[in-house]
Amino acid sequence: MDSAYCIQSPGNNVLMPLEEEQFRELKRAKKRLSSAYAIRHKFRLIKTNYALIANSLKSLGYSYLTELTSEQRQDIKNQVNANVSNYILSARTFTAQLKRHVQACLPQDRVEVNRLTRRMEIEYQRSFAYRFIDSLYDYISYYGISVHSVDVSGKLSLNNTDERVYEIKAYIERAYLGGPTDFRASVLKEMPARVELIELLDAYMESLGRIYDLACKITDEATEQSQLLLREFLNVFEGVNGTRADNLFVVHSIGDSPDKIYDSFPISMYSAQAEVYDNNP
Amino acid sequence: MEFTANTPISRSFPDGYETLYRVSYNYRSFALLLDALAVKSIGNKSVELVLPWCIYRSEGEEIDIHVLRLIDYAIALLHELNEKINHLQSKVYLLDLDINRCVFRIATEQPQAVITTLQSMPCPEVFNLPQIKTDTSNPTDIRQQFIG
Repeated sequence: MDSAYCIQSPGNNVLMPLEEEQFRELKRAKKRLSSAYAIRHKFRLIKTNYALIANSLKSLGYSYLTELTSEQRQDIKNQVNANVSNYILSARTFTAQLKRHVQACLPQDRVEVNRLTRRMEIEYQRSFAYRFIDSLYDYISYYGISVHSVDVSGKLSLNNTDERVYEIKAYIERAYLGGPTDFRASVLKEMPARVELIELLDAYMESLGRIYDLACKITDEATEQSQLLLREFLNVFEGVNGTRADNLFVVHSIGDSPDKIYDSFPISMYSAQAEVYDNNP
Repeated sequence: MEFTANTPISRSFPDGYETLYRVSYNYRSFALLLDALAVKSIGNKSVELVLPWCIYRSEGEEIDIHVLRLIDYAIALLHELNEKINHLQSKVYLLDLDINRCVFRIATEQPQAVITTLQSMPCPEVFNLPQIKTDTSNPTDIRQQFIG
């Protein structure tokens, strides 16, 4: 059975043959780029979930000032809970797989990966918020709730006497977390009676930001090189076929027919021109 | 998280008072706090008026709806109290209610006169037997302690 390699656009209309070595280079580049992009996508997920929490908290605060039906207020409470849950889950997805992504970009480099490991250990040791968010993952994934109480306070606005400025604070309370079998014992012991949610998330983001910045720094060179390689192949494809290199796939087929596909992966989504990746998360 | 809102249509919070609404499992409390600087200027003594509610949540009634009703009654009484003690240069500086009782704290330099005035007022139907006493601390400390 003979292997054949090519770059093609969907529908098989246009096709550019590749040598096996070129196929392997492209596959390597794709692996590195998809890992590098995953780091950035997942960090953005966390930040977006933060914004969703902020919006739903404001709605919840407002709901206590107006007469809503119980279903309406319950809907808003559910949204707050869902948004906090999504945040915690996306934070765990990020931290649990970060090393793997960095290793995929730098398969031979132990030193840099160890730097990242060390940074994550330091953040865990130094930051209560980091430890607490990490512990919240088990609590939320088991019990399905996060916020136990809220305070809605109001002050008169300085410029307009009809308007009040309100603040909503959401709390996770030690008493409601339960005991050492319900929540990580060491963190439960050190936590105050209640932890305010937004303060917690802001402090956590500082720690996570340092980890993220380091991961980006470590993987930048490999990312650039992979993108250069990709760009070369896309340019050649455009030159040969006169078509734009949108939505291209690299294909490894076996046998006489090009339809017998053994392996196939997209490449256009990893080019630097694809807007999914930029340096500002 | 901060957000702005015009005072709700269904009730106006009295001028000069900050609000604090606390929500937890089967627990609600509502407080009005007079601005801290204003408290200092009124007086150093504090009188406490405790009024147990005798209206209760109906079967199946939403706790928030019930509490909003209690808030309405409490604010109405707050206005009345302030009117009655105004000539004594005294004012309510803290209103704190939950579903069991409503507490008013009054800042004054003439606690005895305030107590006499309170005792002369008819107790609103929504409350059971009130208790009135002079506090041992001053209004500023009490207010600070309440915020925690």
